[in-house]
Amino acid sequence: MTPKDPPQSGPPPRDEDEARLARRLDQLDGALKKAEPEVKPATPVSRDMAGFAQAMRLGSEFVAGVLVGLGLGLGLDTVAGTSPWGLIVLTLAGFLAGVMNMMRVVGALPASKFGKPDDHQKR
Amino acid sequence: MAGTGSEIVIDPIKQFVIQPIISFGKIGGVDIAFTNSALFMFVAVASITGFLVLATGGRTLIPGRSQSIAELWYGFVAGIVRDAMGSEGMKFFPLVFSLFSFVLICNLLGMFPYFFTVTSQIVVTFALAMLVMTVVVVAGVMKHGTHFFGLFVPSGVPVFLVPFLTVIEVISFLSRPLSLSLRLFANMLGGHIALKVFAYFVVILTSSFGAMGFFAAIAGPFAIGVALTALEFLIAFLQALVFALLASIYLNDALHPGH
Repeated sequence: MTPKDPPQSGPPPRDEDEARLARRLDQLDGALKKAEPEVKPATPVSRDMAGFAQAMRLGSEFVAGVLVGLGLGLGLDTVAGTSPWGLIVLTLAGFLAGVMNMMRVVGALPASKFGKPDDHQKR
Repeated sequence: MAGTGSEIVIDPIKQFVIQPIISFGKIGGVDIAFTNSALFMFVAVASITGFLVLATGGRTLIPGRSQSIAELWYGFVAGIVRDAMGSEGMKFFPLVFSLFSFVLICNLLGMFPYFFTVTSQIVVTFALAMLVMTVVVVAGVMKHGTHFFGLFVPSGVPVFLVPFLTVIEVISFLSRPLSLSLRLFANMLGGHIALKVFAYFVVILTSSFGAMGFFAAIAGPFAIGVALTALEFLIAFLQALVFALLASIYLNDALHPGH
């Protein structure tokens, strides 16, 4: 049958009351834990947007790599007087860096230290 | 009407011109002035601070409307930071929150007609990106010492490739602030130019072709302009999000270089 009503067990068996209280606390804890993922809306939203963010990055990552290589090459040439070799070599290296950046954005280069792919796996 | 149509000067770049409002004279040959750009930066910071102070002033247990917005705002950025860096990254939360809010509000302020878009200036976005990278390097060196620079040396590759790959990794690292600032700057600049150009089309069509041009303008460039406006609001939010997201991913390197 259903458990006895607490008020009717008049001479208060304290242990039973406390046990019941503990059980209820446990139950509530469980329910809270179950509900918790739904309480945090921020994470799913940002994860959803993370894909969008990734798409936004592709173009600029590549362009930035080439531009930095170009800039470094020109700088080296004016400082060390190695024109035009610094420009040629470092622009090509910048191109490679740009491609590597892009591959990292899409996660095609898993063993990276600037580990964007790892960051996504870590979540 | 046709006469006025030919007088319209199409200059979609004019909206980005920086004009001094109060000039403080020259220091070292450089004009020092309070410009429209600075004005809108102040407006952005003032509205963020004002809103957050007012919204959180009540501190009620059951949040009202503005407090809900403030809490969502906080929770959103906190989610980004925790996702990228874990809870120990929360020490960078004030920085990321400020960056996100500043970029977001500047982008949104730029959507008002006749307002100046601060984030369409590469000087501003590059300064913000350099701030992030400076924090990454300084915090990384403070936490890990010279071990931080191990970030540039790839592991698990043949020895003869290491110097070459190190150069590429350095370039890759240096390209981060550039790509961070270029993306924001280019998106805001391009979007505002596109909006302006389509708005000019409406004016030109209606003023040079009368009633027929008016209907053509409504069907064509005006409709596109409305759609572009909606898109620009999305981009304004998205770019702020991307900026904050990437800032926290980069800051993660300062915490765990080369994990």
